[in-house]
Amino acid sequence: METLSQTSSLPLLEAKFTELLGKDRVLTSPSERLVYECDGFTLEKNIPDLVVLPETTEEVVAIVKLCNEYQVPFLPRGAGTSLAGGCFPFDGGVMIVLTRMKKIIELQVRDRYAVVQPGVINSALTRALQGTGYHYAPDPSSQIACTIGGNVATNSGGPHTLKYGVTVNHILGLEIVLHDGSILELGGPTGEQFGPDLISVFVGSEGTFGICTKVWVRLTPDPEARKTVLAVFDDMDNATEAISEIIGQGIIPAAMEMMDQGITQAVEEAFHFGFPTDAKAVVIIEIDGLQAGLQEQQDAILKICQDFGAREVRHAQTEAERLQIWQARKKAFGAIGRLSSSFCTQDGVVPRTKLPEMLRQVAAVSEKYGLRIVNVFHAGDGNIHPILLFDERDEEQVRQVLEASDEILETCLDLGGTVTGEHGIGIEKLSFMPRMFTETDLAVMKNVKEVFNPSQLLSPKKKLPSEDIKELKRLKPGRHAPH
Amino acid sequence: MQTLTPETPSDLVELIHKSATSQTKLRIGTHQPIQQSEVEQSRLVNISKLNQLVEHSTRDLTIIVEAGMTFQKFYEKLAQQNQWLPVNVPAPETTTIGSLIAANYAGPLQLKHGTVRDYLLGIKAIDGNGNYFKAGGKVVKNVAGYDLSRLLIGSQGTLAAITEATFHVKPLPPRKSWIVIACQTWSIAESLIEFCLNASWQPSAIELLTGKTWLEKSYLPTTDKQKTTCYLAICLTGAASEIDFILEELNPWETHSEVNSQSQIDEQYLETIETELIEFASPKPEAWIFQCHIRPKQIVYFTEVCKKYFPTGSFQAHAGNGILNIQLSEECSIDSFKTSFKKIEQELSKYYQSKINFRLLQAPHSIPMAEIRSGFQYPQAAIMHKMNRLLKERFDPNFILQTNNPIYEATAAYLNETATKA
Repeated sequence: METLSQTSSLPLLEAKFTELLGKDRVLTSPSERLVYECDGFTLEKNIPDLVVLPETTEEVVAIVKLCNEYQVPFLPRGAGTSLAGGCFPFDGGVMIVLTRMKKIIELQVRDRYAVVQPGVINSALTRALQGTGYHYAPDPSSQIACTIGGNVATNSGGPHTLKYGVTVNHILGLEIVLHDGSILELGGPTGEQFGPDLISVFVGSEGTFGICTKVWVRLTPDPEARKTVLAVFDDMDNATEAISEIIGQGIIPAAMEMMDQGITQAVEEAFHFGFPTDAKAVVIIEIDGLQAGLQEQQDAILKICQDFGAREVRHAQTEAERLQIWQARKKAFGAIGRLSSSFCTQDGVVPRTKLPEMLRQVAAVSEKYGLRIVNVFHAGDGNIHPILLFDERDEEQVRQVLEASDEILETCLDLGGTVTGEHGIGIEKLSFMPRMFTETDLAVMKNVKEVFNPSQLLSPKKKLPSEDIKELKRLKPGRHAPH
Repeated sequence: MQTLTPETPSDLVELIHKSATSQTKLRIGTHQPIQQSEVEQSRLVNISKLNQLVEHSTRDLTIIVEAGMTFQKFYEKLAQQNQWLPVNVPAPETTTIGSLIAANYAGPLQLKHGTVRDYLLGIKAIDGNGNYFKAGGKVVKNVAGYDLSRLLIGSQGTLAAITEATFHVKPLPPRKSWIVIACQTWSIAESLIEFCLNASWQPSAIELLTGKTWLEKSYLPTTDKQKTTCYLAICLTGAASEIDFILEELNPWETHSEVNSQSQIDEQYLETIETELIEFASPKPEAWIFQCHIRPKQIVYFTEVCKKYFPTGSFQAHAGNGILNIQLSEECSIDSFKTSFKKIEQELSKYYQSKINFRLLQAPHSIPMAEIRSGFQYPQAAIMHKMNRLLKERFDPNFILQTNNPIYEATAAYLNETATKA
């Protein structure tokens, strides 16, 4: 297939876009377009032929219709913080960047919803809600940069997924520009749909089903109180078993995050939070809700941790202490630079009770390949993020990281889990799709994809494996941005 | 009507495959009433033998069951482990897990606990071609592949027959209470709803009840029924200390001059009130049930206006969610409902601009489907009809699954109308 840059359509399309949007909102020079060559998955790079920056739904519609008229591929992009190549411009084409669609259209606290454009930054919505007693619950670690539209595309999670759910649980309605420029409106303030739950299948479709131009999100009441516990363990198995026991006893914390010794040491070296560097695991547990029931829960958690051999269990006495504990967790990825020049983060999920086995396997893989692997992850969800450290100048290490990553993800599948809990398939994990799903499963998914995207001009070659994608042979591990 | 009872998923695959070849229509499950035309044209498939517990990972809070298991049995299995799926299902002793997903049942508890979408992790299902497929998985976070599990929620069995479902479940709350407040005026009901929604605690449900049906209930406060305009039934779930705290917060309202009475539902009536609040939307076959969706803050006024135009009707609103179920007697007709509804919309538009969506949930069995079809258009944009039609064509190209269904009735009616105009 000829790319847009190889055809005579490029200058014509450029002129039409300029007429529609003005010169400032059509990026044509290579240096301007370079920014959009990849997202947080930096292994594969390709510069889009044109980048356009619409501000309204009507402009998105006009852009999509022009792309159809000239038969060029196009794809949406938010802030580009996705980690699996979801907004990688496979065949170049037109990249529709939605970051200028950043209006918060409505905040209806009494009715518990907000209407936003897709380019609104996740944390900007939270800031806008401060003082209202409500918040937007999905809080991916990239929330200061990522957009709500991007969260919808990837069905983002975050540390508080454990109690509050992922993005799909907070979407009441969507306005979508479909492949041909028609507008589909789903749900709305009350989330009502008649017939199949199209909102749910759109969320997480990674831009392959349409371009979301307006989102109705559910607002969640702020908890009256929070308590944060830090438990220090000398044994990884004990730590993960304690996590499992807490939930087994009917306590659902708001978040339950774990850092292993490697990460704790790096964080301490960099930021001096006062974490014990000789401990095998540090677990952060946050509970929230009514003050009235919280002490009871905290006491139960402290007891479980002690019963499972925690050598130290403390809880934040002040809000400042609580924030310091969370800062340590959030700065973990920033500290990795001290450990290695290159790193590869994986995103497997296993049933929570399989965490001890899973982490033993990660350790075994580390030993087998002679690679250092550190762990910081959403333990309450069973969502692991092993970080493989290596030197990308060493070809042998690069090969080993690829093999080791595959081995870890295969173990996730063997233990009843999945290869991606929140990063997405994008292009990075296409090769795993036939390992997780049968040909029939994939054919049924393809059927749905063809309903939304019959011409395949929209975000081509993503999410589902195709014949063309076999050309993509992974040569390097993805070097992921922090999350 | 011929009834077939597959014993394994493979039997069902074979049955659907054969039906697709012979273009025999199938009616799988019973969550929609069977129409006379179906009796003649379709074969009924009873999936009650696909009722096994596949896996219950109690410490992972996940459960996998076959779709023919009844909700009652499912609920009991979970309760044995002190767990629950906080979704309201009518007739749990006969409603299957497959129907729960296909019909997207949701009742009072959706205010705090959400709907099926918040708990479904994966499915196995058979499309109208006989393709046996799976989607999702058994872990709580999973973004691999398209979420076909949730696509089937609300699809009313028109796209595929579900054979197995995986859910994320919750620990059973240590205590559950229902508080009923008899309100003299609509404005006090509105103030109470505001108070509950803005409180530091979250009610699991706030139900606004008014009309004949509710006045007859013996478990509701008996004092001053004549002076009672409506009742608020508030459900609280949580630890004992939490419930005690909330009850204390609610106490001062009891002495309000516009509150007739405020009481906790007696233990012996707990099951009755829950059942009746859930069953209201699927009552005696001779009733009409309309469901309206409106912005939650408009629900009290909307209910008041509806009661004015349907004085003999009964009403139940999920007040925090903006959903009002209206139950009317058999004597009502679609035309009279639509005429009155137009007036209601006009009256509401003086104060509010937002649109009201309404749909028919149930018609008296005596009303022929053809009459309902011609008199009632489902509120859908043209593009929605197109998407539904395209999905149906992909999943069930021979149109053998649940063809006599409101979704496709509406789609077919719309497409016919469009074709005629063209």
